[in-house]
Amino acid sequence: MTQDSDYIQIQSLLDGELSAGDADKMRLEISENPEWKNVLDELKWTSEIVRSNETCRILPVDTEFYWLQIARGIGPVGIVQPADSHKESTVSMPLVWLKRCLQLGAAVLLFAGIMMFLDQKNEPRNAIAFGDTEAILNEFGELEIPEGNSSFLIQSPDNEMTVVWIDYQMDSME
Amino acid sequence: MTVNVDYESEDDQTLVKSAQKGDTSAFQELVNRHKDKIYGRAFSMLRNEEDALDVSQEAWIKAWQRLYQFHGNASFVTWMTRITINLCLDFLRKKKRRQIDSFEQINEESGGVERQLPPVIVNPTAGLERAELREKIDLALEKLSYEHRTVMVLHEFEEMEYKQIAKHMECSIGTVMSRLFYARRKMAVLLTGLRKESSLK
Repeated sequence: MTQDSDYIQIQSLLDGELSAGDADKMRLEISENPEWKNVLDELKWTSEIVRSNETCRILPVDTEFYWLQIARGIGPVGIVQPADSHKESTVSMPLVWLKRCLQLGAAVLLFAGIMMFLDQKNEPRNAIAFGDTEAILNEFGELEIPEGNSSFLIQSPDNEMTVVWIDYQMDSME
Repeated sequence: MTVNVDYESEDDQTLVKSAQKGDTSAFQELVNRHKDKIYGRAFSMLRNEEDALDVSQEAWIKAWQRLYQFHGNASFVTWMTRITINLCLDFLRKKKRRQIDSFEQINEESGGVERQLPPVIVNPTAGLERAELREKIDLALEKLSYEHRTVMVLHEFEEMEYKQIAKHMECSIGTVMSRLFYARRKMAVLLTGLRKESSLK
C-alpha cells in the first residue's frame, strides 16, 4: 500500500531535493507505477499553475499616503537631509548669524544715538556757579553792574531771558 | 546650492548607497519602485488588505533601520522581500497564538481530509482566461491554513529550498515537506473544477 511518505518522496523528486541516486531510483519506480505517475503529474500541475499565475497586486492606497506612514515610522533619523542640502545649510548659517548681529548692532547704535540726543538737549548749557561773574559773562554776554551798587542786569537774547538783580541797602532805605 | 538628483533614472544599487548615507528621497524612490511587489508578497501570506499594508510599511521601516546591513549580496528587492516574509511570519505566529486551533490545523500533521482523496489526473489549462484563472487560484490559496499557504508562497513564489523554508518557519525539513505536500493536494482539490474545465476545452 502506498503511504503518504512515498508521495512526499515523489514531491521531493519534483522539487529537486533528492540526491542523484535517489532521484534515478524514484524515476524508475514512477515509471512502473501509474498511481505514482498521477501523483507526480498532479503535484507538477499545481506547482506550475500557482507559479505562473502569481497575482500582481497594486497598492490599494495612495502612494503619498503610504510613504507618509513610513516616513513617520522612520522618525527623526529619517529627516536626515541629503549631503548637498546639508552642506547648503551649514554654509548659510554664519550668514544668518551675521545678519542678526548687524541688525542688533544697528538697533543698539540707533538707541544710543537717541539717548545722546535727548541727553544733550536736557543738559544745562553750562553749569555756572552763582556769583561766578566771568562765567556768566562768557555764557550770557551782557552784564551791567552799576557803580556803587551791588545790583546788576543780565540780558541773554539767545535764551530770551533778562535777569535784573537789585541789592537795596537797608541803610539807604532807612 | 542644492543639487537636483534624478532619482528615477538611478538604479537600485545607487539609490541604496544614497539611502545608506541618510538620503530619504533615495529611499522614497525605492519604496515607489517596489511597493507593489512588497505589498503583494505580504498580501499573499496574510490574505488581508489592512494587515498587508501595515506589515509592508513596517517592513520598509525595518529596512531603513537595517540598511547598513545590506551589502548587495542579493538584489535589494530580494532582501526587502525576506524582511517582509519574516515580519509576516511573526505576525501570523502572534495571530495564531490568539486564536483557537482550527480543525484544519489539528489535521495538519495527519494530512487532513485531502489525505483520503485519490490522485487527480491533470490536464493543461490553456483555454482559460488568465484573469479568471488568477481569481480561482487566489481564492484557493485563501482557503489554505496559514502554515500551508506560507510554505506554498515561500516555495512557489520565492523559490526557496526546503531547508530555507524550515529556517524561516522555525520547523523541521520534514514538516516543510509534509506541509507543502498537503498544501498542493488541497490546492489540487480546490481547483478540481478548473482542471475539468480546462480538460473539456
